[in-house]
Amino acid sequence: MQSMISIDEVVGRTKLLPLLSQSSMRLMEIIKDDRHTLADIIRIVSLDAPLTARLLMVVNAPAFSQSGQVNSLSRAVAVLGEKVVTGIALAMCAPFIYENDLSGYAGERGLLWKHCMRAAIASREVSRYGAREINPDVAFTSGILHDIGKAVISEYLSDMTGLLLEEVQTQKAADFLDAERQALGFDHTVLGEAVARHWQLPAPYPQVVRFHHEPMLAPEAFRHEVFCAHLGDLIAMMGGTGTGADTLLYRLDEHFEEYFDFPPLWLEATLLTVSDEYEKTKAAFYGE
Amino acid sequence: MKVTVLGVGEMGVDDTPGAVIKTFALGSCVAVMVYDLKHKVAGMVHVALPDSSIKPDRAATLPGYFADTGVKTLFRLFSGFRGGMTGTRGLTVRLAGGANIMATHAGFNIGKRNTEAVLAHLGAFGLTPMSMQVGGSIGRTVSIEVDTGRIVLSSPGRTDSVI
Ligand SMILES: [Fe+2]
Ligand SMILES: [Fe+2]
Repeated sequence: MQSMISIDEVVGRTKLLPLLSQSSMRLMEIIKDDRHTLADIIRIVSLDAPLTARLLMVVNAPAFSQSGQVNSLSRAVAVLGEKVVTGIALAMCAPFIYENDLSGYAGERGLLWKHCMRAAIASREVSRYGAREINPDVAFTSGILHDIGKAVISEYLSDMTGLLLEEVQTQKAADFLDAERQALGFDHTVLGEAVARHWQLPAPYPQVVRFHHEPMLAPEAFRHEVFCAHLGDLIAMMGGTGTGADTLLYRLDEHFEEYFDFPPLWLEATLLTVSDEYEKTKAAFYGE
Repeated sequence: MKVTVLGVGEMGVDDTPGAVIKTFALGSCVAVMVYDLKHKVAGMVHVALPDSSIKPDRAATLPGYFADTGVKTLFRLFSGFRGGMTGTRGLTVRLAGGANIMATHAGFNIGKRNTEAVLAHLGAFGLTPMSMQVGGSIGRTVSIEVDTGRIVLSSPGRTDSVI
């Protein structure tokens, strides 16, 4: 194939990425804590002027069909919900990730954000059925973060997309993740974990990013959250929102059933809810 | 050129010369495309789930969402473009979509079940698709041309194909 790039070199480059904004770090931290109130969220957002402006713009988009203009930040936060607010904060401070053109996946600009948003909604929906209690806010953020490594690996995959596809189609690679590994010696989950560590994200996020395609390799303590992102990712792709050429070319870990108590037809019901929620959120984002 | 883009569960029928009906990024969803060569009418429905019993109120507002109500309603809509002709004679049907993730778990084969449900409901109208590009692990964008009934499929990282 082509000469291998060293993993150390690529991981070293992730350390040059800008850090996350203070507000998105604080938001991620606080929504994990059950004792937080809406006032805590509003206080954090109010210190971030660009974020406040963006939230007011999003909440006034026609899709939210609010009666009249929403002028106050507190109403904007109440309408959008703290999870979506956190997602917006992340996307705004890390455009080099979420606005990446994903050329290595034959993707396009904006696709990573859409995929992560849909996976986040699905991950949160799935978390309701956890065999142990799973914080839905953590499940949501896990979905937002799971594929951050794709933005970093993308440039190393350009010109190889077709080749990688062929490897999977001819079963020389088990799935797209394996194809990445065979071509480069590393994959998007490893680089994603490096970004998560660089950003100093708390557990379970580095683990979610690293193991979202191989949940059974995750430390037991975080496995429920990792499975939420695992299923959320697959559900987003089934709904047609992938990141390009690799869409659907990933494996389901069938151990998922040990970590959830799913009723019959849960997947059909979840696909429907996720589709509705996603369309609403997307419309708000793009002002459609 | 008139291009109608269908969202999930939406359907369209058109006889405007030069017009195209299109739907983006089918994952496990199935696009059913119907064409009447004589009257030059094209139709499409973007089906998301096999059966409407899971959410009847959605079927009432958006029948295209489900295979059972979608196929039926598409033919009803279609007859309006053929001078009220209700039969399915002279119609050709093609399918695309119904993809799956890489899994053997039966519960996750929604794409396969969507395709099977669509085929069963088409069968009730005495129709079998002329051709299909369904299944596999591949996202598909599909369009049908009113003038010719030509169907173009595209997927990221792959070359376009015609069915
Ligand atoms: Fe991934
Ligand atoms: Fe993903």
